Amino acid sequence: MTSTKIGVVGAGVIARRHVRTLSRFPDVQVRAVADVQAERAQDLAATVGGAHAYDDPHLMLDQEQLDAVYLCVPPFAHGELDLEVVRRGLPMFVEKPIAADLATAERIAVAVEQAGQVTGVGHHWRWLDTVEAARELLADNPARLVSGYWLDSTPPIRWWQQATSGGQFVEQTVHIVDLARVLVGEIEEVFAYTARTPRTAFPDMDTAEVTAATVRFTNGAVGSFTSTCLLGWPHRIGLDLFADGLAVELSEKQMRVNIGPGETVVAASGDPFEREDRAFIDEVQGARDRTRTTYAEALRTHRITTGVLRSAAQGRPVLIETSRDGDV
Amino acid sequence: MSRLKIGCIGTGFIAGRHLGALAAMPEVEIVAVADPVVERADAAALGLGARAYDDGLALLAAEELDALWLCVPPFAHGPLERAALAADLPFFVEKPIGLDLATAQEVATGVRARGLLTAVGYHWRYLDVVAQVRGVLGDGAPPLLLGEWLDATPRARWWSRRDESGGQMVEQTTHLFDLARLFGGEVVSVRAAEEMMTRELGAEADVPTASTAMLRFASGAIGSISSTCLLQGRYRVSLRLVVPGSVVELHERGLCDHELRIDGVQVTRSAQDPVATEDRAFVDALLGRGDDVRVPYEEALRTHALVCAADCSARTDRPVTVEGTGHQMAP
Repeated sequence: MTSTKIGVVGAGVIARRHVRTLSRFPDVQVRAVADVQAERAQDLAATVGGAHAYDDPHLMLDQEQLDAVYLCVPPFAHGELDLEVVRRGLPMFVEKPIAADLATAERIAVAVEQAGQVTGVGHHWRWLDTVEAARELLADNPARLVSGYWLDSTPPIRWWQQATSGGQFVEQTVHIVDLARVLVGEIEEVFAYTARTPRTAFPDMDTAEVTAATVRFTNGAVGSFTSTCLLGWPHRIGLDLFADGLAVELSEKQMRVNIGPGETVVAASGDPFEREDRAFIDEVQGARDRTRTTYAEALRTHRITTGVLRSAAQGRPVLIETSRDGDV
Repeated sequence: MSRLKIGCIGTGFIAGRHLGALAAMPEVEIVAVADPVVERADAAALGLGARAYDDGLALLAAEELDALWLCVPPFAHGPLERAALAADLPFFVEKPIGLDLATAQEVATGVRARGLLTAVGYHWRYLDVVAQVRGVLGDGAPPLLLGEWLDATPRARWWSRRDESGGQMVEQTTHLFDLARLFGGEVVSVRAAEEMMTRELGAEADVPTASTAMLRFASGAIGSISSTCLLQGRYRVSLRLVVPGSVVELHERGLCDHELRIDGVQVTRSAQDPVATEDRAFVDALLGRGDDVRVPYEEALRTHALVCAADCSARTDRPVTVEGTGHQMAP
């Protein structure tokens, strides 16, 4: 059996998760790990026998014969790195968010479209089996009201600043916005407020502790998304959908369905990361249309989350580009 | 001591709650009730030993009252309040205080000019669990307030007509807007959006079936309040207050069934009857032996102005600055 050779850039939490998953696939070989922190790259490379460690991703791309690259880097690190992978014509799996800002992502999307290689983006919620079930429930009874939440703690990571992370809405709530696009449809307009609540425990934090957005979908449904990082634990992370006589509440762990008399709670089963990685590898190996989130698809979600920040900054509604083609 | 002579206009569900509470007070005498559905008025009057009218204005013209309870649908406000003002008659009025802002502003001007005693049925304000929240929050305003009114469509025919009820935000969710003001302070701007889903309720049913409103408070805090009447029954009616490190939630399961949760744990489940409590407070104020009317007309007007701004934003699809009350309070 030929082996698909993977290089991973980044050796943080999400990179470790992908490496663990990929190394379980018999037809995949993680050949190299690159991280600007050399020890982290070495530690992760050591978990898969024979993988090389690099402290410079460009060096890895120069020296390794790879079939595909995983970019598991912080939001601010996207840009030249992604473009180099595209120039080399390598299939590319990118973790969300695809950039800290919109311009970088638009530029990469243009390059991806011209190069035409296989892409995948880490919106793993799309691979929850409960999301499939929710899609079926809503197929003939579309959601009219949508409420998305990311009410959580502040992550203990140094790059969680406005310029480097894009802020909570772009970095975390993007999962929920993406899910709403899958289950409801395209969002055409957003209006948002942000609020700062400085805390002595986070003296350097420069990004909004509260973000809220009202959105309108092209099919007429309305919704809101609310984020906060003011809590000490995840109070509510998920998407609530309300249709005629039907309430569906999705979290990463479960789906709650209410049709009036009685309520059903279904636990999510299986590993969405495994499904996501398998689909990408299948496509790298020649299968078609397996990836649920191509770069162009993730860009449409990223336009919404960055549009929310633009709306909050400008104090006015922002129209979202919803064309199926990249915005050139 | 002579008893307070009270008349009640409207004999629907909420009127029944008020009449029940008032009938239990020895210092109150319910002398007359009115309802355009005369059988309903007769039935209510019979149980109370009161006179029945099929017209509220006729009741006001014929009876000598000490106070009036106005428990009429949203579209019926205006003429009754004007008549009460003309007679210098203190009144309790159910929410919403009108369909639009102009009528309520006009009534407020009259109330102010006469210094009339009034109270409005924002009964959540009388709940012990609401006072408990105040205690938990201290002086600080929560930076994030999340409201949900996720429910079925009420059966009353007028409720589904926008020109009669004002729609769900104006008629129901106004309770949550009022609480949001209580805990978050005044709102400076609002952006709302609404959805109309065609349903088998007849051609006259034209209220939005879902809406969401986002509020910017003067404090900088943010509120988000969503409503739908598409569900099979009451699903969730709640207000969540997010402060650094804590989430305080109020839930209403029924008129006399409220719950306070802090950080996901139930702290209090209350069976208090807030309608009886607010009636007690207003009667005590009328008798000159109490001063605990928590929502006089002027205060309700500010909540109504906020809801009307949200409704205007939803209709026009643009952000709206909250006008205040035509009687701007000092900041």
